Amino acid sequence: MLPAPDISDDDLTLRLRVGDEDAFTFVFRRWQGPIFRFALHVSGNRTLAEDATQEVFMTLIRQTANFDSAKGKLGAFLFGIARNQVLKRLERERPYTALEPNWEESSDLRAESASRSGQSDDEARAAVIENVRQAILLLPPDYREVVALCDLEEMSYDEAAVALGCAAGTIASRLHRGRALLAAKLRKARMPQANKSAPAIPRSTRNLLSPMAAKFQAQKAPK
Amino acid sequence: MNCEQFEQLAPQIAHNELRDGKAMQDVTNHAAECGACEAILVEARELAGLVASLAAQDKLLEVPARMESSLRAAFVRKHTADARSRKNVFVGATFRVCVATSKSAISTAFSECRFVATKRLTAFYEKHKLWKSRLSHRLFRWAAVSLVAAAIILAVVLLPRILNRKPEVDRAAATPAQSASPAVSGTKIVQAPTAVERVPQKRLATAHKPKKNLAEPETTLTGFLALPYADDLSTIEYGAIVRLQMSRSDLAWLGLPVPISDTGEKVVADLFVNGSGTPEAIRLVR
Repeated sequence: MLPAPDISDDDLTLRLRVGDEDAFTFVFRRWQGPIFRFALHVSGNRTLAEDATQEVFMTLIRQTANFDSAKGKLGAFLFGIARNQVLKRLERERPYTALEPNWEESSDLRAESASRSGQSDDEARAAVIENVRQAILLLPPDYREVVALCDLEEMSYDEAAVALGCAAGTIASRLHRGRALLAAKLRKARMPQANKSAPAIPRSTRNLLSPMAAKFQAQKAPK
Repeated sequence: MNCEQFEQLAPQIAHNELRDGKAMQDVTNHAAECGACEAILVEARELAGLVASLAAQDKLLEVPARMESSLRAAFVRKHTADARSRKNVFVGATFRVCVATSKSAISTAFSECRFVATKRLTAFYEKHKLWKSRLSHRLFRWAAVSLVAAAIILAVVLLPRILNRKPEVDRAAATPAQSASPAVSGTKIVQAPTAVERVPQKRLATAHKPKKNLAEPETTLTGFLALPYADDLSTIEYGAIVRLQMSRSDLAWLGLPVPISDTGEKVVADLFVNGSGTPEAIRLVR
């Protein structure tokens, strides 16, 4: 897919309103990747991410006049639509979602098998990166979407605040807690024996664990 | 700086988000003094590196190429429909403006022409009413004419059939009488006629009643005399009386016993002819 030329989003938006097909193509090429990746990182489902991305641009086609560049950038507007679409679809498909496997145990097995089979460093790193992906998917939705926007899509706090409809300070606090939870999960997955001697979760984030994470922690604690 | 404050700032340091130089120096100093906090900083940097690697790995992820064409088609359809609706809105607005601006002019013109229009409408109404009355009158006349014509046609068609119809009782009664006396019917002697045989005579007398001047007894010299070759008069159903001027030779030719002379004198006689036109009887009038 060819990259979009260097035209600002505001100009493209003006051209979109008068029905410029090329402008729509440029907007699509510029934003389809980030939108799709965001939907994929939040949902973990490629098909759902594709549907959500298509619905984002269909909404842009239908509601071009609703976009006000004074309130925020086009990207934030599109990410906001994507977030709503993904959450709506996740809520719809929740009754049919399979039970999550014990991700930490499976990641332990992956790490052991990688060390036994003598995989290269790249393969081991790819396995660790996959563990990071899975750990992000296990974060609570509020933290997950902030991590996806700010850490994976490199969006600023202000843009993420516009996209998620909250204050920039809320974004900062959610991001901090999300990173702490992510680090704790990865630490537990990477060093399964370490939780016997050292605290797996930083002191500042112990009281921020979700009930599911606390339950997870209790199951892994030695009896 | 204590360890809790260090834990708060460690992720920001790992993601290069800490812009405060003094805070950065404090964190560095604390990490050099505290081994646990240094491990936390290393872990945070490692996590940041992994997340960045994940972002870099997924950076090329895109939607299928077919989505672009379908969305472009949807965009074109939407804006074509919008342009059409905008055109309709423009036409509608223009029409409304034209109506609004011309409303006063139309009302003025209407008030000026009101008298003329009312007069013409009244005349038209009267003409319409007149036309309606003429139409109804014409329809009534045509209906009456049609009824009379239908009555005449019925009379012409049905009346002869009614008059010529033979009573079933007569036909049924006559058949056994004829079959009962076949030998008698062949003779010219008419004796003791039965009641059945008298019926045709009565019908003959009523159906072919002679005119008054023909049937008057004082003007006739004789009664009807059966001609020599005539059939039995009682068996004749239909016939007619014809008044003729005949010469004596004609009478002789018919078999009457008259003296033949050459004077050329004409005799007025009534001939009774049967249904086939054959004379059956004659009566001398003068």
